[in-house]
Amino acid sequence: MTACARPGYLPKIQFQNPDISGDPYGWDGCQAYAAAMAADFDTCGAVGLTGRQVRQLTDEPRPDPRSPGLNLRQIDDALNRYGVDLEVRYRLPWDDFVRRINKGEGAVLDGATGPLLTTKFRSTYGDINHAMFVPPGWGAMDPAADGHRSYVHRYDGQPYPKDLLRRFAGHLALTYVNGKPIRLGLGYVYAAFTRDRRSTWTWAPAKLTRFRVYQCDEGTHRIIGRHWAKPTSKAPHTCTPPRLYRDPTTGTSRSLVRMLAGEFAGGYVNAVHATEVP
Amino acid sequence: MTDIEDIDDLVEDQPDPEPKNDRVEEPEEEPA
Repeated sequence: MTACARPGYLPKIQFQNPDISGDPYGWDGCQAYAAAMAADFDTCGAVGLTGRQVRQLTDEPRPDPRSPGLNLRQIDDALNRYGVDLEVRYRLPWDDFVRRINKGEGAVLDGATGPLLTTKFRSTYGDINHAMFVPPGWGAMDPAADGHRSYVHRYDGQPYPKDLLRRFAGHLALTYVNGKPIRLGLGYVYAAFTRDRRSTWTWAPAKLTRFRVYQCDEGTHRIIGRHWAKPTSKAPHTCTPPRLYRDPTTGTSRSLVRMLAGEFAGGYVNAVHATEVP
Repeated sequence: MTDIEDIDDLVEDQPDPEPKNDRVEEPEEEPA
């Protein structure tokens, strides 16, 4: 559950098309428009940001011409300024994504549109990295799905087939090597969930091998130290929900949890081994 | 010699890429 206590509340659809949004950067902004709908959903409409406003709140208010889109870290930072804290997850198993949407959470889902192109849910001309907001009920809200072309789907609230969204998510191009995309892979997800404030999380190591324990600054959400550690048992211990922390050594962010108990209490560890207690 | 623990360390320590969305390109004319 999110901060919004109205079961069944759906955000207003926001289209990125500049002819509708008035946003000159609209076609670059699906991530910002999906984020705006996530903020609407998370607060039952109390945070009524537009996609255009979300772009202006990021560290890239004017699109970088070499790479004009946005990523999940940027929209999370932008919404934090309005008190909306998304839970960003990298390489989350698809089954976990399904469980959380079915439980009533919403999420910005990143993917690439290749699998949509041959379906009635097509919204882009080519196969591109794209983002949409997925609410409970699976009526995905695609900011490009405004019906402005004959081949472009118009949002009507109808549920998307889960397998189609699974293929959209796995098709995400993570990077390019010699001009060829390296894709995330079927069964995994890059997503930003509206936060479940009642959830309990635990963390347990998958193996008894060395792993990183980080120190983080909660004011700036930055990693300020790290060391190797070796667990002595695989017993789970309670931890915070995952969140992103900026890693100054790589320039990227890591999804970490802070241990609340156990031998690493107080330290931050990789969220990939964290589990939400059902 | 690299043992399995060192390989696990490397995997654990790899930063995740943070891909951006692409621009939605509009064709000049409606495709057939």
